[in-house]
Amino acid sequence: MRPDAAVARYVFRLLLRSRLAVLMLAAGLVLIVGSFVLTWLTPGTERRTFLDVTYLGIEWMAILAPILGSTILQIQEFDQRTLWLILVRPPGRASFARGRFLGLAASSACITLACGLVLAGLLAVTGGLPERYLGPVLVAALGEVLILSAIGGLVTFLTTSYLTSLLVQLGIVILGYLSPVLPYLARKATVPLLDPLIRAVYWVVPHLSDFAVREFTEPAETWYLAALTGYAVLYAGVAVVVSMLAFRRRDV
Amino acid sequence: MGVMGPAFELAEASKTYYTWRRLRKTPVTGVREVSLAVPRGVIFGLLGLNGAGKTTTMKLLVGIMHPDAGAVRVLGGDVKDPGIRARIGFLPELPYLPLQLGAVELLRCYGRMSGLAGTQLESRVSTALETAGLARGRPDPLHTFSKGMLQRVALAQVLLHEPEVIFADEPMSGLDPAGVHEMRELLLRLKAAGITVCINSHQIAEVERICDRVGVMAAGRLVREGAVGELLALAGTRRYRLVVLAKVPGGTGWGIEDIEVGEDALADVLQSQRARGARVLQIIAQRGSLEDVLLETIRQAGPGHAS
Repeated sequence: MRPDAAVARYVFRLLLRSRLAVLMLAAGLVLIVGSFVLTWLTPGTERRTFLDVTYLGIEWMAILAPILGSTILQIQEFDQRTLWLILVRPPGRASFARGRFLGLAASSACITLACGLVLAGLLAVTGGLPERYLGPVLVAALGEVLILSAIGGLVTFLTTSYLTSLLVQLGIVILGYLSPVLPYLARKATVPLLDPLIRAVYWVVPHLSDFAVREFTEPAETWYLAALTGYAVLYAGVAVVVSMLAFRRRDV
Repeated sequence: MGVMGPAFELAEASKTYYTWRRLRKTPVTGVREVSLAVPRGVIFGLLGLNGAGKTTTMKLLVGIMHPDAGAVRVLGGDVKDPGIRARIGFLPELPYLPLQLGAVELLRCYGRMSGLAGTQLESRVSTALETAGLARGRPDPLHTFSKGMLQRVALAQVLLHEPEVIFADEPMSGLDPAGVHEMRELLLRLKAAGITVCINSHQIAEVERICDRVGVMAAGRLVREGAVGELLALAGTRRYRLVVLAKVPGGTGWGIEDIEVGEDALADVLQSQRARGARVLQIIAQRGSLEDVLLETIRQAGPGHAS
């Protein structure tokens, strides 16, 4: 087995065996079932309410799973030093960074897809299929998982405190959702250095608002989803390379 | 194994850490210009007080840390080389294991990372568990294990890929007397099998008992290194016990006195005893211990070395 795959398999098992995975899945199920109950309070728009809440839930699963997963890894690897017993084995630091990203992305994708499957099952039981938004929402959510897993890996290699890394990742997500308004804010900036700074942030943060396909008036078309996936793969690839470089000389 | 060079060596290796204090980056010396070459097939002990640089040296040797200057070579190669890392094992002071996984599951993961697969992986997992004294059948996650059981899992992960050099940081710390005995026997068995073992320990009596060579570290430097026998001989001639027959102070009778004296003061003490009319009955050269060597070496290394 390739070293990257061995590390990925280890990280995947580690995260799916953690309490986080159980909590996330439980939260996802409560949200989906809760939104189903909520439809009783909104007569006439039952289906719309149900789908709006569950799609939002899936999107947040795709955001929280990699962020919390990378934080758990940081606590275990650096604070509890489980990393020591990996770094003394053949996979090098670059392999470890790649494998860790793959494992984190795979476990986060599993949690997100599990919520999607429950939703699809519920729709099938209630005669709600076919649902045109389900596929695009899941594809976009997986794109977000890719990007945020790579960012999670990078941030946890750059910071020494899990609290800092958690806050930085949440900050990146917020800026990512605000990315469409950043050029406008840059134009309005009166302080000299603020304009280039905001523009730099615009180019660096992932444009997560583009992934909110549940808000589209029509389901996202295939070409849009392909472009979105391409962007996610490219962004994640760059972030993984940077995290490999960041981890190369870090003392643990 | 081919040409038998040293099992591991450090050449002028230095490592400095940096800590932030009051927004200032402060350098802290980990190890300074450490040079050491340990032959294959021996048990080598690293001794020193807390903060002497023993764990940093071990971290450099296993590749968890990289030196700022100098070189670290294990089994004739760079520890950054995955092929070299596949031939070393590391037992940390505390079993740094992810507690949500089961023992077999975790060992399989470590085995895959060490390049094992299929039936070879399964048989190595079974052998490692057996050697470490663990029953294979227990699938529970590690958080249900006792401290002693976790130490055994940590030991199993070291033996899993049959390394040629094992680095063990405080291998006997936290073990009960039976555990210490088992660990000692295991380390001796590994040595008999031709495996080089480097241990870092505060349990000097154990080090004296099982190690062939020792290195003493103080303030990040290696201040003494040699065969245990040589170092003990060095310490053995340095202290004497005098048994003298002298008048009881303030009385009329005679009594036996025991006086411990260092080599430097021996002549003066003998003269003063004779001058007070005492009879020296016996002069016993005391067998020094490794503890004496350690403390004496650190004292000789000068101020700042006893951290």
